[in-house]
Amino acid sequence: MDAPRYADSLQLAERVERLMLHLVPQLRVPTEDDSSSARLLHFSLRILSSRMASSSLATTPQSAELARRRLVHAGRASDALKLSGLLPRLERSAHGLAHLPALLQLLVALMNSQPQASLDACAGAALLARPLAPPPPPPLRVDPCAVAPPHEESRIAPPPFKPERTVTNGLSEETLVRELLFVMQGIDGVHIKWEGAKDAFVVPRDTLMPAGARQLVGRLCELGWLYKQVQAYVHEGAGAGLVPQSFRHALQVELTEWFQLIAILEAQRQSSLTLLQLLVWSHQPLQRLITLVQLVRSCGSLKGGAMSVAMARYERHGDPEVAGYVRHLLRQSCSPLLAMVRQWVMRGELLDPHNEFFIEQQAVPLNELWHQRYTLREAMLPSFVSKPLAHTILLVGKVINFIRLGCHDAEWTLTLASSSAPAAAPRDAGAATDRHVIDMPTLEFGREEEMEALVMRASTRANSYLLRLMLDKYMLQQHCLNLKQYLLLGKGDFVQQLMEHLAPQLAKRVSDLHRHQFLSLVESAIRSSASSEPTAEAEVTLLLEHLDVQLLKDPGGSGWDSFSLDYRVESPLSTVLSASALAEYRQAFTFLWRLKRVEHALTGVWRKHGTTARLLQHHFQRDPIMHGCHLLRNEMIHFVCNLQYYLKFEVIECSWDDLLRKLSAASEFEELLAAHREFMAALRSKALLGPETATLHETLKGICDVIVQFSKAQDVLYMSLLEQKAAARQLAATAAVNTAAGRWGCSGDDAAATLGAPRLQPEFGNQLAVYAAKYRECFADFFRQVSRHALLDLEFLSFRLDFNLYYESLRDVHEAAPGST
Amino acid sequence: MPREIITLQVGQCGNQIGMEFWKQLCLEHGINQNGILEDFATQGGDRKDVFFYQADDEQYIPRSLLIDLEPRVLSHVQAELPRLFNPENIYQHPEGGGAGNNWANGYDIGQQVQEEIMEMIDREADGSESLEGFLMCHSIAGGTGSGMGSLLLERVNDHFPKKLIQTYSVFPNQQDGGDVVVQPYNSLLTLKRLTLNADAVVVLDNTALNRIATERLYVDNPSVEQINSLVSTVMAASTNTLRFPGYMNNDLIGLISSLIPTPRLHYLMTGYTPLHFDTPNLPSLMVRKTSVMDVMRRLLQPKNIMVSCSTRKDRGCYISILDIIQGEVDPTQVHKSLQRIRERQLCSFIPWGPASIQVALSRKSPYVKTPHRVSGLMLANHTSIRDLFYRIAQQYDKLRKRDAFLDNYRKVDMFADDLSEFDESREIVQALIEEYKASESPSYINWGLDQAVERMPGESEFTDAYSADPLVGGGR
Repeated sequence: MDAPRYADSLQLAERVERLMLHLVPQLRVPTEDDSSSARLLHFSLRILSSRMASSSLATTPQSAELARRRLVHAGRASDALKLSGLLPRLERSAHGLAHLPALLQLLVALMNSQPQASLDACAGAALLARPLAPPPPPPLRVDPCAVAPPHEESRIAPPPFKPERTVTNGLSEETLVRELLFVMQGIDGVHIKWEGAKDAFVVPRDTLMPAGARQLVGRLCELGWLYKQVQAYVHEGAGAGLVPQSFRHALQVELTEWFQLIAILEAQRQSSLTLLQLLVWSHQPLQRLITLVQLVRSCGSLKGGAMSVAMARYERHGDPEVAGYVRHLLRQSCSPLLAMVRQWVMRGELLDPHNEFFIEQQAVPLNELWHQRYTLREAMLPSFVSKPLAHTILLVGKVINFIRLGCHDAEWTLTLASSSAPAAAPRDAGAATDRHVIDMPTLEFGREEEMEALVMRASTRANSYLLRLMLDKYMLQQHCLNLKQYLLLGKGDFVQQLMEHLAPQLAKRVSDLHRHQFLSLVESAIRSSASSEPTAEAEVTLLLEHLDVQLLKDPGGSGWDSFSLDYRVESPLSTVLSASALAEYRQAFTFLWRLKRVEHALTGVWRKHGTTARLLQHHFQRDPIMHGCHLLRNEMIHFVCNLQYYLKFEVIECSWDDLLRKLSAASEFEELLAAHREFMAALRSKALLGPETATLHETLKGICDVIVQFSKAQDVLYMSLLEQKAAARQLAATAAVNTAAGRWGCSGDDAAATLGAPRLQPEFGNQLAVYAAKYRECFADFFRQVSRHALLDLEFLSFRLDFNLYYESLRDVHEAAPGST
Repeated sequence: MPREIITLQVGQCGNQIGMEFWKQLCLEHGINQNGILEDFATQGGDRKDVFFYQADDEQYIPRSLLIDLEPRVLSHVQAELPRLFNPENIYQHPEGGGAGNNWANGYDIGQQVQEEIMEMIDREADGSESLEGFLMCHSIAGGTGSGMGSLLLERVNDHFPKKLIQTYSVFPNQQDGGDVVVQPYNSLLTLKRLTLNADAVVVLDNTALNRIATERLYVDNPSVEQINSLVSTVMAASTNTLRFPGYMNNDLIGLISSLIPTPRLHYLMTGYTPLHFDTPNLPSLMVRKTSVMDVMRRLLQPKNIMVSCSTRKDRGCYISILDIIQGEVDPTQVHKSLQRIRERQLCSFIPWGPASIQVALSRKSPYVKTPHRVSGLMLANHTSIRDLFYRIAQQYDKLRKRDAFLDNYRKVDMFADDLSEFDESREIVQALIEEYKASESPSYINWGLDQAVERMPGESEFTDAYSADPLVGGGR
């Protein structure tokens, strides 16, 4: 319920004073001592501002119904009818509408208490009768001329329960009322005492009193019990935390008002207060106390958001009065939570000594900040924060913390001012705090839209700043490009350099390799492939900072299998380019590097075939072994090239385009992460690196091995031809010398064998047959797997590998005639 | 450490197209005609050092030798690009008489001055860290480019056995009979060297270039400059991946090794689209919408091929194709285009092995503005190139039957005693034609087997073992 806020209390005081003067004519006579009128005014104001007084909030129909019923009950049915007639007219007048229920209630109350008195007299009497306020009553009494007459007058009205005032046997009603006032404060009276065992205030049985009074007392004692419950929670409630604390504070305020009521009652008692009056007047407070106790009970030892949820259940109470009252308490209790939200959203700080907030911080290293450091504590989700909103809130603070801790921008503060122009001004500490005050609107309970708007605004701001930071300061795109250029072999000239620098090293066994050698080789490859432009120096420095070498310690393998480039990134880039992503890059590098190596070997073979053809050209031009070698090599080159075209243009380039598009379109950091994740996922699945293509990858490795073996065999062949050629030359030279000396040009049998054509040894033919068979078997296996694989993208690969349907026709022939040769 | 390439421009034609080539290269690298880097050329991401080196004063100097036996073209080059080339790299024969359109003269003079020229080449080779090879521009019809070019091919091959030699060889216009009567002789003799001593020959057929200029670009009488600008476009595009490195084809060997299956079948055709002449008076109707699909399809159209041999589906087949696509390319388009090409069977391939259209997406020079979003170069190895050789051989046969115009050849030592050089060349060209023809059939896989069996009966088991593989079954 909302107590009207008499913000403009001065105006009110003025009005009250005028009213007072009007009602109590005695005051109009100027006296030297203004104290009585002052006191009266003070008292009136207190009553008016008392929440108890204005507690009864009901709707017009309710009050009207109540009034009608009372009238009917009192046998004034005609008046009731009249009331029904009058009410609509009252409602129609716009002015009366707001206070109509209160007005009706007032009328009802007046009807009950003093039926004969005129309204004026009644009001005046009431005013003057009650001011005999708690502590210093004397002054009013001292001035009889001013106070006595109306006092006298008020006596005219006999309280309706007067007959009961004289209790014939046992305790007098007065005593009971006094006792009850103590009980209502949770204090034992002389007769009514707290019995712990029964958990109640008990009037001893032997106390004599009328049955009606006993019943009334029993009901009123409930107040005491309720008070005690609330007080117990206030003083030693179980839930530690800021929310329980503010709840207790709110309760304390309620209890203070309770005491005020008791004080008023006490004052009234001094004049007259019957049990029934007590009961009636404490009816509203009773309802509230009941609500309070319900809240206290359901809160139990809860805290934080959970507690707000427990309380919010009562907010849905059917009685609007209760609901309003609960909302009032909820607002007070939740203010620490809202402060936390604000602190978190604006500054990324978690001020949560009792773990009440719905976001918690995990003890993880800083580089895991983004993914693991902050989590949602779902149990503590308050009633006023939906789950999606909670995620947004979590994200905002996370972004702020990420900027501060991850991006080393500790100075950064979130400003919500719409233009950043003033924010650009020098930030001295004072200005910064000032701005905070302005920028950070206090969040209030019950205005969820405002909070949501604030969160959204903060989220947009923080995210856009973080994006700028990542893309501009930390050059995320540049690093992605570097990864593509270097780890995914996009920079052809660098790869070429690296291949040439490293090839001799990589042929060695792993145990003979040292990382530092590779580092320097990589560096020189970077330098020599850097362009000569002046901007290049910065790029080289950046690269040297990040590019690294990894040697897998696999003692069996050769350098080719164990070498990999590596890329090192620090926070905050490591959040995007995570360790696992880099591991995948390395894996991709190993794969692409292997293909490059195979390609390199094959172009070497191609080169030698060219040279060999020249060596042999004057002799048997159409050597079937060489021809077979050429064709096999051609098949291999076709395979390796097309596989690379597929990988580079259809896998990497397409995904890269996608990545760039997403990076530039991103509005949140999370989108950057997702974009890169998707890039990696596409790479993994399409480039045969994923688990579902593991067998394919193995087959592919087999093919590469065969090609490397073939290349080595071709080297041997080439060397043998060169040796023969050299020998032939030698022989020819000798022959020339011999001829010149007048002898036979050649002599002996050895010459006959070597003179003339360099010959291919037949074992090369056998070798070729073996390699051809092996390669074609491996390839057929691979091609079969690719063309039948479930992955749609691999169709692209099979399409490229057999563009002219050569292999398909082979397979058809093969399948048509199984077992045929 | 780039993979340097040294250019040898031999003869009139060689120097003319060479000059256009260097102009184009300078443009693409942001180097002005004095060899100085333009101020705007800072973000190219290009490799200038493959074709240029830097002098002490930061001037970029082409790794190029300009060789001619007569002064006309060389002085024209020096007049037009006075500061670009290193003067030490220009060889001009002191007599300046030229080769008189006679292969034998060119070859003979070449032999006399080869020491000097080889020294120049050596010097240039020493100046490079990791020389990849040579690129020769010449014509095969005249005297200097063909004769001296042939000699240089032999010498360089001998001297640098491990280096690559790629030539851009201009084949004469056969439609109007040519300006030189002995061009069949010259061509045939040069073809022998191109076949034996070059690793790859990019055929620039004047007949086709003229046809393209008139039919495709609507120029009635294309000038030499216009034809040469076509040539330089092709040359620049085909070296694009070397100068703007990307994933693949970053060195010459990588570029040509996948195109050339066996050492002899190394004659490459080119196609380029969209073509345009950089002249103001041409209507802008040439500018068409370009997409990857458009470009790739147009490259396969016979009318866009710069060699006068039909690449229609019923005439021979592709051994290999490499499309170098430049410009703003959506990589996902490539696959779709390839699919479309295969569905519509726009080209036929060899039946004896795997073959495909390789598509390399390449960066474009940021300094050259073209009206097209996408442009493409095709390098292809097509069996119908043998038609070209066949025509040359036929023309040769006609002349030779009459022993016409041989006197000037006989004056030179080489042909003084007999004309066996001609016969040998004719044989080699014939073998080349036959090999290309053989490569159209599935039995190319066993090509030469019969001869080998005759020659080496004892060694036939391994060939059996080789062909016993079931996968080779397609060959029979």
